[in-house]
Amino acid sequence: MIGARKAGLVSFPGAWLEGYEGGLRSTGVPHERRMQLVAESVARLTAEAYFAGYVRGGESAYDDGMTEGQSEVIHWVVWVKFGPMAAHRVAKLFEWIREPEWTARLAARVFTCGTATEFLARVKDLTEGERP
Amino acid sequence: MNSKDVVTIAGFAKEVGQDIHSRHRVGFDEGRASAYEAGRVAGRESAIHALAAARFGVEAADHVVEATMSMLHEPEPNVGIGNAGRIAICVLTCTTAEELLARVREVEEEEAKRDRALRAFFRR
Repeated sequence: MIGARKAGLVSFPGAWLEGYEGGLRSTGVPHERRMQLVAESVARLTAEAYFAGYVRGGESAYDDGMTEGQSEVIHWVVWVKFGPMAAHRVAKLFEWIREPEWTARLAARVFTCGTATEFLARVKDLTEGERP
Repeated sequence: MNSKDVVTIAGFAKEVGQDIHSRHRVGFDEGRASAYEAGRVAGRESAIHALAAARFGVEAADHVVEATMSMLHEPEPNVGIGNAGRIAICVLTCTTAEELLARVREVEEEEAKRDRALRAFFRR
């Protein structure tokens, strides 16, 4: 309920302020006091809007960053051991696979496979065999 | 209260409303950038851990991540290989966990030396 109220304040702060000021006026609050209260509300709403945006912006970004960080590291190892083609294939897979356990399984295959062909075949098994 | 005051407040509210919306957008962008970077560092850590665990076992992997934590938190270059990539290649090329940690220390020392040389150059 409070969240919905806050969301409303952030979505329509102008309308809310107008209503707030109108309410104060109708109850006879003097002009200067009204302006002071409106100014305080503006400061509070500005801080709340920034915070709400900050939280909302961070919601999905952490997982995106996590995938990017894992992809960067695995990419270099695969590049050095199996060459650019294999590294490119693995980087493409990271674009749609978002499970942390998958990175661990992939890392194990980097050491157990001897050639790029074998590695790519095992990665294919990993993605097709263990995923729908 | 006359009608002129009401118009002024309405105009003010509209302007402030737009300002608050723009702060929401700034917060969204900054929150996104900050969470993305934190996630990226965590991703590098987990990938280094996964590689080291596959090669030298989980205990050694914990040790490697702990020893390289500060290097993994440094910003990565936009082009070319960064610290995380170099550590990952060390995991690949070293034959024991001890060798890997010694190599990581060497890389750290090289970085520190380069950093000192760069600072000395700009102090001149």
